[in-house]
Amino acid sequence: MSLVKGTPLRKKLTRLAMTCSVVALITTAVSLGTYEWFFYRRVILNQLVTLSMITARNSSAALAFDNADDAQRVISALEAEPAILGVALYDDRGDRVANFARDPRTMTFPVTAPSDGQYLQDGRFEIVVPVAETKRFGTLLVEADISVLRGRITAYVAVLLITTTVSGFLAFLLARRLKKRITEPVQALAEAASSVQTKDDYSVRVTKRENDELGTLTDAFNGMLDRIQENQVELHRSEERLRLALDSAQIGTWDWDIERSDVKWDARNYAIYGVKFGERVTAEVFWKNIHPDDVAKVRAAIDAGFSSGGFATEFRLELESGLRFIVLRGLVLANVAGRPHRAVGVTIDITERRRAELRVVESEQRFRVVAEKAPALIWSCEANLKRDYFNRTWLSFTGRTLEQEMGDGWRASLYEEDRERWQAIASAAAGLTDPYSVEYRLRRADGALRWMIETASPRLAADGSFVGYLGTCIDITVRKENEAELEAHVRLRTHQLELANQELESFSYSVSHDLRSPVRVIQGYAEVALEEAEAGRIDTLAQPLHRISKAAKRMDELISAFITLARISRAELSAQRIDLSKISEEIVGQLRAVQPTRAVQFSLQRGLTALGDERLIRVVLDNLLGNAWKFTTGREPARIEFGQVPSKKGPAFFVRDNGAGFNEAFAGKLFQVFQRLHAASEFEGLGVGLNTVQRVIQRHGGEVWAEGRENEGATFFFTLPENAPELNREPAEAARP
Amino acid sequence: MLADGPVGPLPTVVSEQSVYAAFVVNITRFVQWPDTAFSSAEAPLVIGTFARDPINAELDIAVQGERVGARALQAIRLHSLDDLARCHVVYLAGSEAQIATVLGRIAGKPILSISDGDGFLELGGHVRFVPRPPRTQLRIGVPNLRRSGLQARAQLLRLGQADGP
Repeated sequence: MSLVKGTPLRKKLTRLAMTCSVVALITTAVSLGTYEWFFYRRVILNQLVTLSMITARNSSAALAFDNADDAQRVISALEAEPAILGVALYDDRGDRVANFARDPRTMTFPVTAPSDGQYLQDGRFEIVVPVAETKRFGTLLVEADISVLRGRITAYVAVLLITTTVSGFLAFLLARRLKKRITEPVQALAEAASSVQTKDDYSVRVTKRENDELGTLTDAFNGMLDRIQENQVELHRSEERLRLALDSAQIGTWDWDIERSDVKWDARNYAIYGVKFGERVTAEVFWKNIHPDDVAKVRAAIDAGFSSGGFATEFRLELESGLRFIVLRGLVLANVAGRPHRAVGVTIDITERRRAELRVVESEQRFRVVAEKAPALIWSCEANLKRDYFNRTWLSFTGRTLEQEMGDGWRASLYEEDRERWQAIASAAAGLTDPYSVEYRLRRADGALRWMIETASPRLAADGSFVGYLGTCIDITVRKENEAELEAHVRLRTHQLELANQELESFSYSVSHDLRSPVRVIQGYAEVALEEAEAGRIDTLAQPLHRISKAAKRMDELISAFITLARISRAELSAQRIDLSKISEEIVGQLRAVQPTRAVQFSLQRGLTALGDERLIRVVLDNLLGNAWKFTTGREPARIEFGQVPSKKGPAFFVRDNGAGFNEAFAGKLFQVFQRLHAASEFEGLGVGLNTVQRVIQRHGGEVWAEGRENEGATFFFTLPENAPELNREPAEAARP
Repeated sequence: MLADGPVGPLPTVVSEQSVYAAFVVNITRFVQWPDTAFSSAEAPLVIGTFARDPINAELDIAVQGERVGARALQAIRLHSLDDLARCHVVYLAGSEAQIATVLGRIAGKPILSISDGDGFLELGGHVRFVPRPPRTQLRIGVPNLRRSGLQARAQLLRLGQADGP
């Protein structure tokens, strides 16, 4: 597996090490060689010169004292120096005194002394030095062959080559060993990197070997893999989310390499355009299904996007499955030169949304049509209860214009007393977004107050937020009235039932108590009569029998009264207009006929009529006038009056007398059955009359009451309502137990 | 060891006395005197000879214009033994008794004594010329030199010893 292009790193490292070593060695060798060449030569020459001068010095005494043998000995010592080819010694006259030649065949000396100096001649080096000891005694000539130097250099080069070769080999071995410590971690890193690259496996980790830069690099590499792995997981999640988002939102994505005319679509984009997945996306494929009317628009949008950097356009696609509404959005990226080279974006299928919008519009229209023609009053309001719509029915009901009604304007028609209630209920419901229903009175165009029931349902926006109410109002006045009537009827019936119970109670009481008193009288006198009869006293029988007869008569009267009372309670009322004045006059006439001796002044208001059952009203007047007649007994003059006066309870008829009157503290008891305020001995009576009066009046829906003082007369008032003889508005509150 | 035939012959006209004179002058170049031997750094190096010594004429020629370092060479005649005190070098020619007297006067003093007489070194002299034609050889009395506080250069010593007694 070749990880690095071309030569692997380990070879490179070896090459590097070897190149460095060899270059260093060669440089050193050349430097030393050059040094040798230039400086060793100088050293050699200096050495030769020095040697010459020493020899010259040593030979000074030989010359000074003409000792040629000694001179010869001195110069012959130079034979030890291999570079020296020959030496010659000249005296102060320039004559050669002694010489020495390594090879006499090739060596010739000048006959006379040459001048001092150093000369290079034919590859030979000539050194000419003076021989002196405070005085010049002669000249020494030394000839040397510096070619010996070349041999030395050659040997030197040979040594150098061997050294270089050996050093290079050692360096190679050393590099091989050392590089393992470098290349192995690098190799491990490279293999891990390759694994990441080729297999996308981010789980591999490299073992750290040493705490050097490679160790740091390994740590960094592992750390980088950790992060990449984390990022990849996050990326996968993110991609998943994006894919889900795109899928659920019906969004396709596309990528258009403009310079290479290459377009890439994702699967959903293919699906949106109705193109088989994977098919090459050409211009033809793109434009094929776009609605012909939209082609120009889309083209213009894309062209504009090329200069502005982005575009968004909407068009229709004609697919086999039907017409689709599409939104195309793109971002145009420019290259360095500023020319668009790539565009990326999304394709969104908004058909469902568009259809839903159309449905909403249609629904709205339908609502308008229905609402405008509906018989109900229809309105809508915003969340703050300000109304923004009234149908025609509403406007024609209130007789106002839409402009007048808008907002809170409609409240002008809301009955003043009901406004607060309406506000309370509507506000409370709006606070809870609850539907509500409220009844109120609304002023109709003709000014009539009509009872309306308003029913409102909350309107919610798509996001569920409350945006107001849609409400209807229905005129319920008739129903309301019927309800009131029904209620009154129920109350009346209830009252009648209560009365019936009272009567039953009274009847029971009468039977058990009051009816028993004449029975006791009859029983008592019957025993007396029996005793008298047994004793044979016939003449004294009349008295108890008379009493018995009287009591029986009284019982009969009581029973008759009970029957009358019962009849009154049960009798059907046949209402008609009756003349109360006339009836009163007749009754007083009858009373006068019964007791012609009594002088009674009767004043009568004529022409007083009322709606009622004549037979029962006659019973009322019989009782009241009869009472007046009865209780004025002994008055001189007795006065009885019948008339009508206004009262709190409407026009009231009255019967007034100046008779015995009554203690007003007991006025409540007046109308109870068999309650008598006066002793029977004082005034005759059964105690049933006033109760009968009250019952009749109550059945007529009227009221009866009395005013009076003891011994100062009494006045009985009663009312007879005009509107309903049988079902009157309110039953008398005076219905006491 | 002579390789190239005979070296040029020394001049035949050269007399023994002139060789001796040249040798005396040359010897001064190979001997070192203590500084106390001179009155100053430029004081001349004085060579004394007896008045009737045959070398005198040659010696006067030989010292003419010669210098040893900073010092000029000067040849004087010894008229009494007292004159010895001015000398640095004495060339003694004469009887053995005369020579012994002089050597006795200069013993222990830094005065170089030269002679060609036999037994000179044994008398305490420093340098003896030994004429062995065609050359004149040198004999050096090294212990005597040391006793006089003089030093001879190695070249001179080698020459003097190399020739042997």
